[in-house]
Amino acid sequence: MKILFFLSACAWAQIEQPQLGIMLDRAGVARPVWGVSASVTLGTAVATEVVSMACSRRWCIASTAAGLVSWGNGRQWRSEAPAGTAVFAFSGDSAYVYSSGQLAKWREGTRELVGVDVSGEILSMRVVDGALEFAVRRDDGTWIVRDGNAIVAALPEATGPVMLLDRAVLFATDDAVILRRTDASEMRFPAAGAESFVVMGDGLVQIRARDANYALRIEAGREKLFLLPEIQ
Amino acid sequence: MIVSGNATDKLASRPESRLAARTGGPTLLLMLLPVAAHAQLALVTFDGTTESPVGTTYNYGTVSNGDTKDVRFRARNVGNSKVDLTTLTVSGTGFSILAVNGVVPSPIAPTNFLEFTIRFSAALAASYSANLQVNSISVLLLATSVPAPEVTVFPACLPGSTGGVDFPPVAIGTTGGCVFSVRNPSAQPLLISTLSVTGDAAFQGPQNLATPLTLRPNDAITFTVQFTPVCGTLNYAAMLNVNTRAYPLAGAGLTPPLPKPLLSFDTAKIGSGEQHTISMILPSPAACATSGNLTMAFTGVAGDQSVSFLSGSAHTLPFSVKAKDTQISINGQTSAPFQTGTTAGAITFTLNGTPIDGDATTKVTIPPAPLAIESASASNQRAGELDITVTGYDNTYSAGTMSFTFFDTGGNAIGSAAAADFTSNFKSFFSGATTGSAFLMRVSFPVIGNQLSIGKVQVNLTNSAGQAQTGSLTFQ
Repeated sequence: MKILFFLSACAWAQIEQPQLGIMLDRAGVARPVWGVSASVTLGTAVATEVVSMACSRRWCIASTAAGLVSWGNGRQWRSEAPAGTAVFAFSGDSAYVYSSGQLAKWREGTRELVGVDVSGEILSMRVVDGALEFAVRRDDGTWIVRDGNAIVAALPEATGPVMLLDRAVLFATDDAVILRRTDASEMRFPAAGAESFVVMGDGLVQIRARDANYALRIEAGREKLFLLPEIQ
Repeated sequence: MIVSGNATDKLASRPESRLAARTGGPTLLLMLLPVAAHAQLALVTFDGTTESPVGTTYNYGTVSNGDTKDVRFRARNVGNSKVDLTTLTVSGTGFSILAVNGVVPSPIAPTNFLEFTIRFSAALAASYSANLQVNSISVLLLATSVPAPEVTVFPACLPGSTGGVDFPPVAIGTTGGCVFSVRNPSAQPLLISTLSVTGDAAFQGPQNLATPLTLRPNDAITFTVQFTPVCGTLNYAAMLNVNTRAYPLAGAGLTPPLPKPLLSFDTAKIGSGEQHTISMILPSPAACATSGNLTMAFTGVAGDQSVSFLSGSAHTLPFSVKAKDTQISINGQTSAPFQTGTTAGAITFTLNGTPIDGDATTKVTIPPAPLAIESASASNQRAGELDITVTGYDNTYSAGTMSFTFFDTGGNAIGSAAAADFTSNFKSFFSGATTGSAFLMRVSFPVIGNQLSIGKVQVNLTNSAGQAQTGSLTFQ
């Protein structure tokens, strides 16, 4: 009782504007998204000419026309290669980058090539218990595999983009986006025409669709789909 | 000269006849020169684009009493050497030389011409003739003056400044018209050979009236010319032709205001922190294709830029509707998504850029609400500190009072709730906020003793609209 009284008297509060994450707009500009779900505003550009991007809770990595760039905690790193479409997977302070048929490990601006034996088009990657898992699309369907093409799971309904998440997978069908958790529970979201996914930050995925940009909050029990504003 | 019935006499006095009588054949040279000059000079009429040969007669046709008719003639040198044009005269009542594009006498080079205009002024109803003499070329000019019908237009149509008729303005999509009468003011029957409207198709008429028709003395006919303006054109012109006379008709179309649109939302109840769609339909089809702007504005306890449309410009979107349609397209879509922000107040949607039949302004009230908690967490990872993080919004901008109830790892409440008042912190934060009331609050409690013995915390946050709870947050 004495302890609690002492606690309340000494409590202090810090209040700031919440940032949901970083989105990638149609012009290839990465912008911070401020606010709360379904009520957001966009900040000024933090990166331009972005082709692919992903953000963890603490930092972001992007493939741009000028090469790889990552930023976070007030620091930024650049590397001239590779450019073009890339797939990312975070692993602590590092990230795996798959681009142009090469897999590399990225850490503070340095790239280290990693050998891997995976066949098919790599759509997404994640690190599970220290091992990489890949979502791949082949002629016989979409699969989740590990190095050496060891099959982990099948995603027969996935016809669009796939995003491997922590204890979940997000994939698109023709008329919806499906969040399937490892316990096999599923939620469908009416985001038709999904063309790509971008991890915006902690628990938030951007769904880039033909006609709109959505954000999907994936935190269990707080799932919510909402539109992101578009700057024109 | 009134020549009705005496054309032969007139022909007998033509200069060429006189020339033949005078020359008689004293010398060959005197005989050949005029003939050569005549053959080298051709008389034609010119209508502005085309020349037409003139024979020994030229008929002006019928001209209404009091009117004039002008004809442009050209004396063209069709030979290989110059011709001296020495004679240009017209003799006869009603005909006169109105203009000569040059001087007489003067030489005309090969292929060149001299142009002149002969006017016929119709006086009393009769047949007229005159002799046109161009060097040795004689042409009998004929014309008939006929009684002019008397044309009257009835109110509310008005005589226009150009001698025509101004139709009252008519709303596009509807039809107006003017009633006319044509009367024979003379003592003889009057043939109406032409009674028509030419020009913009918006003017139509007369209906069910066939020409030619004959009006007995003092008889009159009435008829209507309808005026139906169409979308895309505001001013119209046409001619009412009555025999040889043409009366200018002028009319203006009025763009009708857009029927007051019905603005609707995807739900009846709208609150803060939500996204909705707005759509608009018309109660009746639009007469014309129309476009304008849909604007959303917000007034509340504070400014909130997050109240905005989600596509296109943040606060204004273009709208359009097709002619004969009731569906209004907003930014090219049947509906427009928007977000309501995080401030209590009112969102007002207005239409502008086109006249509207009524006030289409629609106001959506965003009621004050207890704090909305988006996420909350508790951490005991810093030595000597218990950290609690709450993300949410307070659309009343009155947050600050809160209480914290701590539980031990066995789930038992540790004493009573600890009250805290961070009102000044929130006021300071909100005073600089322009994008709504969304906040991320980090509260830290210094701890003395084993902080791992505290298992959970529940936060109760109060604002002017009520209370909200985080639920039980586990320290981790």
